[in-house]
Amino acid sequence: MGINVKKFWHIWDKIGVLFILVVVAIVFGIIDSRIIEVPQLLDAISRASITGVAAAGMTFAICAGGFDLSVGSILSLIACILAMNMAEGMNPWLVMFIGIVVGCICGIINGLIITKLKIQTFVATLATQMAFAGVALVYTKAVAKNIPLKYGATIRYLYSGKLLGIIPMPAVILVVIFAISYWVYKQTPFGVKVRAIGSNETAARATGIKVDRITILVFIVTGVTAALSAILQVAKLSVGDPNVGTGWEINPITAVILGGTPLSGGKGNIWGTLIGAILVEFVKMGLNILGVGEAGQKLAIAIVLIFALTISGIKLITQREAS
Amino acid sequence: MAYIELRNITKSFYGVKALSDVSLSFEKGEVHAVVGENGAGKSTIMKILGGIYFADSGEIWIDGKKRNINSVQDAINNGISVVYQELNLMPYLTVAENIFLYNLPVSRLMVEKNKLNQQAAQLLKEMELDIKPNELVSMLNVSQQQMVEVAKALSRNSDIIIMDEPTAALNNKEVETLYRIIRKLKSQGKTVIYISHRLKEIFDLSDRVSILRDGNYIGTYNTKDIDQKTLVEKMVGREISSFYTTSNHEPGEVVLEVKNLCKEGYYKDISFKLRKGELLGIAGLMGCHREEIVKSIYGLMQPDSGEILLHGKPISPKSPSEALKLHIGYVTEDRKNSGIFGLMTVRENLTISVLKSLSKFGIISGKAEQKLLDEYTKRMNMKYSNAFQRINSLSGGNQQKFLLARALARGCEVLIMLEPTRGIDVGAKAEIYAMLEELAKQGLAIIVVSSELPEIISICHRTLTIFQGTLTGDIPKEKMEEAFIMQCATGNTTCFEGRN
Repeated sequence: MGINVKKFWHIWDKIGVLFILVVVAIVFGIIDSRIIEVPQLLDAISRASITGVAAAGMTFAICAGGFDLSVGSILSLIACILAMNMAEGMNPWLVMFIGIVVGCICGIINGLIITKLKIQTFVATLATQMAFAGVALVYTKAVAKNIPLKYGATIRYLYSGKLLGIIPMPAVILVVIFAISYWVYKQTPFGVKVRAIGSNETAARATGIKVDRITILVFIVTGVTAALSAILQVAKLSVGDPNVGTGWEINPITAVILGGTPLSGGKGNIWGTLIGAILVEFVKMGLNILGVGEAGQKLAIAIVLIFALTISGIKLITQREAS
Repeated sequence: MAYIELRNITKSFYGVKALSDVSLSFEKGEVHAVVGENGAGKSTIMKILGGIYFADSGEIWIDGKKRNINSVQDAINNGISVVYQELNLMPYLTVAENIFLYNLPVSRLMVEKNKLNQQAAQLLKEMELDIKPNELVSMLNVSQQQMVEVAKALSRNSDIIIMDEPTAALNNKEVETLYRIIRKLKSQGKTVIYISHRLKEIFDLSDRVSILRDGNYIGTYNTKDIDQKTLVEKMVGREISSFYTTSNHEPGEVVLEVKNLCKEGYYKDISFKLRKGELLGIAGLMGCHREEIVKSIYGLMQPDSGEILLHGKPISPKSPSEALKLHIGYVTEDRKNSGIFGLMTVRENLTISVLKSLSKFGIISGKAEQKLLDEYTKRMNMKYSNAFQRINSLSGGNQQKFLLARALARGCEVLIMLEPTRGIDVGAKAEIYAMLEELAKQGLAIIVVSSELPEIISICHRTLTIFQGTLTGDIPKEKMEEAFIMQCATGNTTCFEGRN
């Protein structure tokens, strides 16, 4: 086994998912060239924004060796808060700000349960997933709320608006969020400490890292990014449905895994997550155009996921030999 | 012809040669030591014999026949048992289940618990170990677990037993037990292949010794025909002027004072003073809770009562981050699990403790990080190929230097170092000793907790001994010798002449 193999895996780690996206695009392009026209591609990116924004936050949680199963319920709760208040004619910017604050509070609750009660992230967020969903149901009396046309213009612009008349707003928001995430991940002490905790929590504590504080911050990040996803969700549909986020957390988690961030923690791939989120939406959209239904789309995404993980598996096997 | 022969074994990983054309032979009824620095290829060759790695080329001959060892099962079938350096026990199975996991006595689809426990009890008794067969492995301490690992290897009644650093986690009494077991195996005509960093054990135990360096075979000698100095020189491939550096400067004023420190179930009434520029050793048998005492100074544990004074002012660090603010540094004994961030780069592993001071407006300056890395690389002579290499791929000695550098970069007045040279090769050992000596000379107050008495004796000004959580000795330099320290550490005598 030569040096080239090592180099190959190094590159695969960084841009493997991009490679898959390109291959998928080529296959689609051969079948039906409409799928790879610019407006379609922009549409796929716009659709990916809702999943993608929360997936950016999820990358931090998984990189820290954790998990946030509650993002779906946070999405539901905040979508309802947005719709209920905007329908009353409240200032949309103020409502969005409140939504983000609530996302932040949800994150603090998760973080405190995990660090102070010493409950594993998976279990803690499984519990709060139910709790936040319950709150959303109580808050809306289990009825979805529509935002009337006259009050919804501002928030709808965030999904259907176009920057400079060409670039869809959700694509802009998505790229901005990922640029910030990447910068935080790479350039700030917080990013390094998240990786340190995911890599070796005992060592992190012994090195003087305030593990509890960083963990709470990580869950604030997932909470706030889930709130931003909720804003985009409501911007898209003008509805606050308390059940919209049921099972939804699977989408950002899929994007993170496709992007090449290992569930074992310690390292992450922020741009990979972005491409992962786009890949899922692109596959769905392409198949949609080809007339393949939801069942077929799900199957296709399953195949892509298994394929990506198989390659990572081969990587693990070849590297185990060496270590 | 020799009983086992390895002929022209070559093995590379990613194009890097771990072994090149190594031939070794082992006889029946001999204890054969294999030595070399970390990365010399000892573990690789043992893993090839154990069926974990496959050689790129070369042959294995046992008892006059060529054998193919392609799996762990093949190795076992060829009568090879390996006691690995890392423990491979299942924590939630019992001792007996662990020992006979690959050969459980079964009747009517059920494990015969009684028979299993009897077999295990028999084996443990032969080994003269005081471990209950039905105890869960997770309830045992590390040294007992290590002995269970040995029992597992013996349970297969193999003709060839390979031990890779079996004594790393054992206390002196258990080392004696292991010696006895090894001598017994030898008298039964079995082949014991023994890998260790501890030269003393090699001279105590082995009949012959083979030396590897950088994946090459250097030679095989009758142990009685070679002396320690020559052996070390052949291992490192150069002359070593003095292995230990002896400190000869005078310590200054008291920096740290511990008064009547108690922690229920761990230690009680511990008092000592640590001076500027002093190297203070702490010795004791495994399980005497000496680690817990220093962990309490570093904030990893909270004492129940007593005082810790820094420059005469009482302190009570609640966490390592508070201790670091008080300029107390710490280097762990367990590099892999509580020291390094294996997935991160060498640079990040150094800078992680000082990110704040390397950042401007919340952004880490890569330039400042590199500057710090260059500075410490120069000072400590770490070897790595580039700043973005994962620390996992470095040798133990280089990892240890990084951990020491990490503690120093934070700026400390008191440094606590546990097992400073555990699992690192002779060359790096000498460098670490020289570094500690230099740091002490510059005024750092250093506590060295170590299981290697020769190390404490040669580098420390003074040593404390702990026996079952109590202080039994505060021994001045002139009285520090192995037998006397052992007397204090086993609670047979006390000595407080080092107190001042």
